[in-house]
Amino acid sequence: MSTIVGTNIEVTNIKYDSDTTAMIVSSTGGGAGTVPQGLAKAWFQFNGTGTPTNRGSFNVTSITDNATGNYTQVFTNNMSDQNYATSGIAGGVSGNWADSLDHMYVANPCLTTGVQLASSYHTGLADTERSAGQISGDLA
Amino acid sequence: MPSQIKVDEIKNVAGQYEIKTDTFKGQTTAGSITLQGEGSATTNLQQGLAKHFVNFNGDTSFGVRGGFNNASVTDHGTGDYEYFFTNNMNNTDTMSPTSGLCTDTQTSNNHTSSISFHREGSGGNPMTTSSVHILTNFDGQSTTLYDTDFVTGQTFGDLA
Repeated sequence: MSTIVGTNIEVTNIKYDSDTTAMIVSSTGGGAGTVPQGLAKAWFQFNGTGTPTNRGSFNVTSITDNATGNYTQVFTNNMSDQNYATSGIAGGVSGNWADSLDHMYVANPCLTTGVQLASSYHTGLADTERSAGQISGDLA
Repeated sequence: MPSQIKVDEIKNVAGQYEIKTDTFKGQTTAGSITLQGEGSATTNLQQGLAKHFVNFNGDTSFGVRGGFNNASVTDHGTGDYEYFFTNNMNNTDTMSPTSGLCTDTQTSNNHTSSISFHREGSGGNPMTTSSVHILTNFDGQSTTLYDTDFVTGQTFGDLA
């Protein structure tokens, strides 16, 4: 095994060779994780009221307004399958700030091209002013 | 002066290579390294990394169990918490917190607990570049906040 040792390494691209399954990164505890599987493949923060807009995002090309409290985040680079993980948090149903907690969940089976999300407060689906989510899994 | 290796590409061509260093930095843009994904698509190392996580007890034995880039957690009241970063995020639009999971302390132990952003006035923001303000409850107790035992959260996005 070859070893390169340096204090700073500046590089534009990092890739593992086809004869390996993953790139291993040592952790502080002495164990190891794999890159790129340990990385989030997309994230977004959006305003779901009116015409939904992503305030900030990574690997998301657009957001679609399907219905009240129902959105689709469309990926720039697709996922390899539908078995990825989604997490998120919601807040800010207009007019209901004082009496509700807001939630976000996956509205339909995940697609390789995007994920359909729903946001709600306690009485039903609702557009939320500030929601965020992340995608973990394998890219195509 | 630290030693430096500048290359356009590092690729394993045979066997396994091991790289030991304390800092990775993009050559063209310091904060951007392209990484080959699982398939043919590429992703971005910096954008994919979680910039923060925390696990804390939000109940009577309030305290932080563990975290990364987490300076502290403030207990604002029942089911009302704010966690603070050690190194701040760049701005509140390009940060993406997630709810994590939490559990309540009901003895029946069959409740579903949830986390949402802190209630703000319309146009308000539960995030600053240095913190995220959250609320916890259980079983759809939408009008009643509740202290929860295991509260976790992560934050993705751009560091300052």
